Amino acid sequence: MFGKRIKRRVPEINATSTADMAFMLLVFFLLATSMGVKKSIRRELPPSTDSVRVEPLRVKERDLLVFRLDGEGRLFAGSEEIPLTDVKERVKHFIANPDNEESLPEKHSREVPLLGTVEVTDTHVIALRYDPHTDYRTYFEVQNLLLEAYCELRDAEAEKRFHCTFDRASSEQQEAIRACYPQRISETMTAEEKGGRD
Amino acid sequence: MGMFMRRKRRQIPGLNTASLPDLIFTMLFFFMIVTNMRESSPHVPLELPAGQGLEKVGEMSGLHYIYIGMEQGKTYVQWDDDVLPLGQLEHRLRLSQQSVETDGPLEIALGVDGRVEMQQVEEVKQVLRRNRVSVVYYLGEESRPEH
Repeated sequence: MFGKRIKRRVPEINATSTADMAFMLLVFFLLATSMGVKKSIRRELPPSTDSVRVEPLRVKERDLLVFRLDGEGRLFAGSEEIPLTDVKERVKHFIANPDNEESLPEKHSREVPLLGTVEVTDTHVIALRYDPHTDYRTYFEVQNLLLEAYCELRDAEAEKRFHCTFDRASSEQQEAIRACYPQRISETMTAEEKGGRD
Repeated sequence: MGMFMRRKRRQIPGLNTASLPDLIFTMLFFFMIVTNMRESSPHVPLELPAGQGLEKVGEMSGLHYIYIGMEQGKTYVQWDDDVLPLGQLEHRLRLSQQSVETDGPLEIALGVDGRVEMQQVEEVKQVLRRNRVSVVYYLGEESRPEH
């Protein structure tokens, strides 16, 4: 009863198959997931005009910038044909209205949290009109240029106010900068009155 | 003579694979972190247009994918994982609007081939607007700036 006990050895667990198990999991994740993050341009769509009576939006001439795409992929600003490379500068100049020109959008004083009173061209509208035969690539390029124009203005403002890029700013700061440069884009197909706005 | 002496049989030591699972697990965690669940992939021939400075599409439950692909002048429409005629799109959209618990508005990611004409995109946009879809993501490939 009190004899010395025999020392027992705990047998080792055979872990050879753990690797196989982990491989199975790995293969599952490789199949079920995708690597690439999808990139896009976000736009808001207005409700259909068939179901809701919408008051036509009154826009002053100075607040409006019209781009028109024809079926051959040419871009017109007003009646003159312009290259796609000019779009960004034109849009930036139009939205920012740096010299407070009479022909460019009117500035309004707005209370913006974090920034105080800011002069904002918040009634401007960029109208993009396209032909039914415009190809999607051209349309997307123009949309992308508009997006870039807004992004560059917002980045510059973030740099000035918060000394960082727009992406790095906190969400309140981003909100404030968005209020300085609100996106106002109207999309219309030229054959019928249809549109989209952000 | 030592040269002709019978050599001692040597045993190759067994490879220690104890750390192999750790290795694989590390790989597994890497893949779990850098990838995201595959929502839907295009089954139609599709070449997305390129753009710069595009925004990421957040993965949310109410997000559905519509693809419009093109091959030899013919367009193909895909709703999530099914290829269907354009006319059925509205029906499918309504079905998913009914089935989804309305915790948020339905959002649509629209992947359209660069060669598709705008009138077809417009038709899809009209369907979305009629069904009160308020946000649409135009999918594109991110391209590197030239400068």
